[in-house]
Amino acid sequence: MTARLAPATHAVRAVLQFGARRILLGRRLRVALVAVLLVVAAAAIARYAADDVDPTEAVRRALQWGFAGMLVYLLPVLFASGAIAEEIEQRTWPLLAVRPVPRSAFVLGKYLAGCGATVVLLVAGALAVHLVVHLAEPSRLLAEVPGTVRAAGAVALLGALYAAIALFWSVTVPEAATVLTVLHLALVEWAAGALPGWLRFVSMSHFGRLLGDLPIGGLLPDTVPTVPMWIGALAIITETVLFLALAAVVLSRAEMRRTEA
Amino acid sequence: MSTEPDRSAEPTLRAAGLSKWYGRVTALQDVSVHLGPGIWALLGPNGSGKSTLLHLAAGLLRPSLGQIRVCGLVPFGEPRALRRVGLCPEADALWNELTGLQTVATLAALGGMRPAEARDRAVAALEAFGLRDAMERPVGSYSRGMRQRVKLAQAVVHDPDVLLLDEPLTGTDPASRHAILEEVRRRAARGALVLFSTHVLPEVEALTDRVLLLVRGRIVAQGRVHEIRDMLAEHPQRIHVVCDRPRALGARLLEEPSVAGVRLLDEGLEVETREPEPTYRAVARALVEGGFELRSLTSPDATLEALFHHLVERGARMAGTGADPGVGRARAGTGGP
Repeated sequence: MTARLAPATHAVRAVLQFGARRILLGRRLRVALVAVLLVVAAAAIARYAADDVDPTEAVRRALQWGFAGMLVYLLPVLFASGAIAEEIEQRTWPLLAVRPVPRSAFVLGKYLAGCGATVVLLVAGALAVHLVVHLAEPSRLLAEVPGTVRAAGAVALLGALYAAIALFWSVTVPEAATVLTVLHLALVEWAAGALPGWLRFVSMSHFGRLLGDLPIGGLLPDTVPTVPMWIGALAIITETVLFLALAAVVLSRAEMRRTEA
Repeated sequence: MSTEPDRSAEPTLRAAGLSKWYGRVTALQDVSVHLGPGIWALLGPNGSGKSTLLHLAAGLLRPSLGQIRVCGLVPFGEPRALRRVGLCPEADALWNELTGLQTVATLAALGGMRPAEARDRAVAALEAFGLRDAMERPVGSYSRGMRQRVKLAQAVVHDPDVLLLDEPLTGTDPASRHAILEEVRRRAARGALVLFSTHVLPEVEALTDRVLLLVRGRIVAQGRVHEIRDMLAEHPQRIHVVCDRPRALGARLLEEPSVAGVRLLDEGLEVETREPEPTYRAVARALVEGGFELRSLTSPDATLEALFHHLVERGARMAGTGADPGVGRARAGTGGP
């Protein structure tokens, strides 16, 4: 009888590998790939449909509308909102929960898998857009890379936060995780991100746009107070950690429900 | 932090005043048991609380009242207890996209094994349940019985010494059942505590005579089958005797005080009694003294199935009147198999 207590890092790695394998073999990855390819294709069409399109502006618009406006919300919903909820709905959770692994390891491992898939696709997609749009003018391909990387990094940071929010709802209300994640992102992140004045700080999407040097848009953008960028980054990271910690607390206290038995 | 398990505590499962309710639904009520190494059958009709008891022992649920300990530890959220527990849940739920080997190896790795060790152990566990040839196929292509065996393999892959099996024989063919029961026997012989719920009573009888019977969340009987039977004075027993001159034998037996009645059958006779031991002695004596030719002597009520149905009906009756249904409880056994 040789079972051992899994050290925390080992447990997180095992959960991460398991979560990544499920993502790689699942249908959601295909849906996400199609969504990213559509955005890349749309950017290419917008760039080459007319002669006078500035490639830098084309990349910027693709990142603003396709990535910061759509994919950053869609991908976390696909990869993280079902991370724990699916196990519970499909009644496979007892197989995992009975392992000698701290519940927080499930939260962290599943988060890293979902967040990793989100970030990889966002960054890879942004670089693909950059490449496709600049194909006709290779001279600007490298010169414009820093701007694209900055925007992609900011969108990826937002994606990491949204993955934590999705995971939190996945753990807290598994039976309605996707709906609640979509509502949360739509109301708190997307809609509140367009409010005037201080109200806009409810949403982290505003800070994300600032970090990525993307247009902040929304209602009365001039009324929004200016804050240093490091505060925006810190706010996003802090909220990410907070949602993960909440998810870990909820899951560690959660019992299997009667309907899951 | 040490990664080696503490095996000093004997594999035990102890519940004291254990109750569990879901909202207004009471799943378990004031259950107290102390189980030691060996095989225990957990019997009861649907909804009697069997799965709830197993899930409490596996740390998936917290008691509403009372406590449960596995190897001396509270299992909920306690990795030191969980590393000694293997659970085969009732639900036919696995990850269809993973192969049998990936499934068991992944769960073994979550139990603390390194990838290579997890794979080796998973292969051995799957082989033990006859899945060697199919283990590289996705679980989604498996039959119900094969999926059941994957669930069993993951339950034993980390070599637990408390094995909790929820309806492990569901959907299995006779060959699978044989493999499963052999593995259960092997583990019990090595000192494990195996608690399994089932509806397949003949297999239970072949495997163990130690049972816990739950009815409406209460334990109405626990211990060895014969002990329970002996303590139930009101449990009627019939003895079928096939011999020559059954009418003459019946007349002799009617004179015995332990015999409640005699009924002639097409072949032989049926003796009814509430005191089996003296009645068996009386039958033997009458057969010898009367020079009867005995062809067979059986009791349809001595099977576990007959006792089960009797106790379930009795428990339900008692629960309906508010009386304690656990009066037929035999001693709590904690000894070896």
